[in-house]
Amino acid sequence: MKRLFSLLLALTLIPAAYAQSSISQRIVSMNVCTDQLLLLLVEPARIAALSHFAADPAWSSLAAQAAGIPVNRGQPDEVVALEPDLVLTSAFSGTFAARVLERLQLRVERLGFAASREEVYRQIAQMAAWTDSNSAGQQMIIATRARIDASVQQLQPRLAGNSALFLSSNGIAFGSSTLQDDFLRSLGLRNVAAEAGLSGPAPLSLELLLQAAPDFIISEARGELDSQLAHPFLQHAALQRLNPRRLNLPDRWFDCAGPWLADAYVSIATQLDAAP
Amino acid sequence: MTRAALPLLWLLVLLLWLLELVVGPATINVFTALADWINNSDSVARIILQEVRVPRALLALLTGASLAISGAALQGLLRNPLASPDLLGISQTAALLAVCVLYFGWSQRAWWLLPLAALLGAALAVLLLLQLTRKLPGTHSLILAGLALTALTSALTTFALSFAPNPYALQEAYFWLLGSVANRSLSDVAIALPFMLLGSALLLSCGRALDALSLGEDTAASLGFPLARYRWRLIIGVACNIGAAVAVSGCIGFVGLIVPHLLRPLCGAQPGRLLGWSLPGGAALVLLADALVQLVPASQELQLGVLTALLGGPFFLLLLLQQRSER
Repeated sequence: MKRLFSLLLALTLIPAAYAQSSISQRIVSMNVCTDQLLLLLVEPARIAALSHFAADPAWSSLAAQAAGIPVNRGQPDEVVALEPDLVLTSAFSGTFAARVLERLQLRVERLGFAASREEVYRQIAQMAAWTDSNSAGQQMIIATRARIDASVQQLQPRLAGNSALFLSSNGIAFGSSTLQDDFLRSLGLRNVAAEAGLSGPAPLSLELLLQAAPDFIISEARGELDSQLAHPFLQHAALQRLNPRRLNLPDRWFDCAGPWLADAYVSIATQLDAAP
Repeated sequence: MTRAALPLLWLLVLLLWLLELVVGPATINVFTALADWINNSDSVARIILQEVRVPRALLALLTGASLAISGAALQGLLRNPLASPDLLGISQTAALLAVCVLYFGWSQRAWWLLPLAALLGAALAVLLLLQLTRKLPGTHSLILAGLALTALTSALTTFALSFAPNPYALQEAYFWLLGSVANRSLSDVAIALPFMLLGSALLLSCGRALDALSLGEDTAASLGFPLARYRWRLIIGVACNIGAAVAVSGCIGFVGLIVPHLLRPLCGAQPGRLLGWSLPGGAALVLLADALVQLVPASQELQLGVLTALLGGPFFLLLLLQQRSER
């Protein structure tokens, strides 16, 4: 009886052990976007290393959670040395390193670029599938979608019909096929960069900006030094005279797919409430 | 013929300046904009004209004049037809110090700190080059020394910007290394103008000394123009001009080289006379180049320095070949 019991125990444990081994246990992320989703979806013990941007609050919304986890600089040799069973990167960064790692028979997965809310949800689901954390991924998608939809319902009546512009450093605006464009349109705002014919992130000339005269300019409020170094476009005298309403949203909420997109919606509501 | 050419050149500057007001990515009626300005009504057309196009056209004019007179002065002082502020690394050294001032956040403390730093950089570079001319005789070795200085200071500028906390600051290297007068404001004109006026006045006052110097240092001294007395005036004059130009518009290349060569057939070979002619000559060239930059149908506006380099690179090669055949 005792022997039978231990045999049964062994039999039930074997598949569990097998399943355990097929789930990646040494995940290396080489990109700040996969870094952040990884931190949210899997327990830290399964993360072998994150990218060196992971602990930088300028790039990552989860810099604090990344503290203590080893980082890599995206060089193939250091990633190989970590003996990963799954390497996560972006389709657009570190492509050379990723190809080298694939030639070494490592499993490399590449996350694409999210240009709409639906693509953000799809990317979360994709990351969850790669890391065998589907339930956590589904929960994240449902919660994010709920927060965003609630904000949209609240904000759309207040904003619909107005025009807006997303502006990053050096006069880079966000035209059509960007997450920023989807964000503006979801709120019923007209994206003046898309109307000016811009597609993707591209520089918008100051003259065209003035001519479009957007009601809102959304940009990341950076420190004094930053705004001086990255061209004081936003401080230009002409913009001061046009005096559009300024809203502050960090670039990093749009650079990577993740639940922080909902924070952007909530932040807009908070900023509008603070000074209507 | 040549007597009439100088006023004609200034007329050309005026016409090109007006062309700069008409050209731009936004289609505005300049006359309505002007009427709005006079009637003091705040239309978008008026803001575009007043705050974007007028400062841009003024800076193109001032920068061009400054670069060209500095090139003419350097060619006279060093008695080297290939001398120019950008080929010798003077502009790039000025840009390096300007970037340092921006990097440490000092430019907000006083408006004159940025041009002053650029001015110091330019002065240091001229002093270094004058020392090198004693050690390195010959036209080409000085240019090679300038090339080394250019490579070093350009690399240091990029190096400094790559340490900036803002990830987008590295794009600034384009502005500092290639130069542009886009998106500048009237405050930039105000920063540059005093230094440019002072610098150009200093250089123009050295005209006769440069004429005498073209006959050789000893002859100049015997004519009552000892080089020692004029050298500092020329260095400070060049430094003021290049410092101010670089502080507001980065390193716009080849203007200081091309303009004196284009004008010599018109005004004669006298270096002193060339100084006065270089002012409108440089202004006209940069105004024209900046208008062209805005007319090129590119998805992204070309940097002004790209265009001047496209003109200047082949021109420089031609000059080198010409020099070879003269020897």
